[in-house]
Amino acid sequence: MPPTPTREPVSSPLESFPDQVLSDRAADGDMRAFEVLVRRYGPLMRVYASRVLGSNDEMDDVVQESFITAWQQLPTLENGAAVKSWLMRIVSRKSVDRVRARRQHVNIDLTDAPAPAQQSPHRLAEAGSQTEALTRVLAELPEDQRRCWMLRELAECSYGEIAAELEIPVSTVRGLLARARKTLLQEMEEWR
Amino acid sequence: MTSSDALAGHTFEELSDYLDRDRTPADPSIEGSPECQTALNGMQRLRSVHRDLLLKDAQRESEREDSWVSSILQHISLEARAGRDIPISHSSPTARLSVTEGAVRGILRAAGDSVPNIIVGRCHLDGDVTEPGAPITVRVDATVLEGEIIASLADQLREALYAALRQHTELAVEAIDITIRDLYQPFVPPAKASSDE
Amino acid sequence: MSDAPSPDPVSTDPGTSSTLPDRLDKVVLAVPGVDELYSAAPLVAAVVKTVIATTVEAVTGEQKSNSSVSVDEKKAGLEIAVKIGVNAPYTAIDVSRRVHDAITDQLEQNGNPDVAEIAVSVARID
Repeated sequence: MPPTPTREPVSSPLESFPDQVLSDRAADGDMRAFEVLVRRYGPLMRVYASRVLGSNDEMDDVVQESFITAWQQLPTLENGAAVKSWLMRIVSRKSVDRVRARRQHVNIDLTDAPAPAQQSPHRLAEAGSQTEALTRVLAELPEDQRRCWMLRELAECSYGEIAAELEIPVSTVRGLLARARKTLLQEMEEWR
Repeated sequence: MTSSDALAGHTFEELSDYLDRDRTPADPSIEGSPECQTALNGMQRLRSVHRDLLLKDAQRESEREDSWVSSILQHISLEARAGRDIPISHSSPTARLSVTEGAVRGILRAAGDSVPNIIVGRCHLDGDVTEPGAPITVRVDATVLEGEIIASLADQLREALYAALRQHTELAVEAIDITIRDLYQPFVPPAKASSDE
Repeated sequence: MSDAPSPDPVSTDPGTSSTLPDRLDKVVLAVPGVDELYSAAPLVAAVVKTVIATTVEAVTGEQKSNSSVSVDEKKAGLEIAVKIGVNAPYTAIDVSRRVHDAITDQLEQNGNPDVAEIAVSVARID
């Protein structure tokens, strides 16, 4: 018996470690800890990327690039507990870069990203639910509003983090978020 | 329809901000207005519908096959975390043996993992590790399971770290400083039923 | 096509087509406790080396080596570098010394060339 444990020892598999510990360990070169972070937040990052990109084709690339950047920059992350929103901001940036590059490439001035794949007739036919409706309305939001909304509701960033990320004042973040909510709400009401 | 004109003197933006502050401190002029309540409830409903959507999407993504995880891991390298070279002695004058600082941090973590209910986070080797015999202080951050006796766990951890360093390096370790940064809650997998006692 | 043997003792061994670095790869991997062998050349150097090797290959028809152990000929003798991962029950101290000694043994069997340095780096212990 080890001396004075107050309860049965917990084996502490890496999967159960808190974000702070995992990102600290990954910053120190622990690939397994990094893998747990990849599994923990990769799916959400993939959702994020597919929403911004409007398709799944480039999603894998963008998420992979994001994690490679994260691995390189993890030692500079001061608060490991904030690793989730930090990762989401990286994938947000990479996704937007990709969309911009794509626009320059086709040389067409789109004010919005293309509508997501979910808008296909097949998906609409089975829709009917509020979540499906929301997916469509989200895709139609102006880009700045959508980015604000996604950083807030998907990445769970604070107003300050969003402002820093988008390089706009906090007051603008507040305004964009309110407008996004208002539009979404109006659209959702019509479907009810 | 949510109207922005009849919100008891508040703008929609104020309400949105109020929601994001978790409705604190409570504002009676908002909480007491039916129009404001309608708008807030709408925003709240929007948020919960969005959460459902996210959960569904993320769930679908986690069920995909694992190839994307391994392809990410193939693209990251330990080189970036190698750190300094810590010499290992050998009788031959042409031998230059070393273990990287990154590898040593790895064995410190592994040694820490052998002690239950305490997790090693970041590790630092203070001192000139490249100079044989130079005095080194090891600094380790750790997280402890809530309810454990910290001093006893720290002692066990220190012993394990000393042993690992003696095994794998010739560092002249003067001290191992352990900082308990945090406490963590035991993780219980949802499906796991405890049947003992 | 002439059959002129290369004067380079590092890259050829009469009777076999394998180069010294290739043989050292095998020798190192055979040491108990070595569970991984990484490319010892730093990334930039590796790229330069590949370019040179490709050029040399084009001129001489010599085979390019894909070995992880790096062997450089300097005036003072061979400079050999190895980067390994170690299996945890074994220790970095023991394994690195054994790898060094295994390389020395192999060199002795290989015409005992002058050695300037044998560098063994343990990059990971698992």
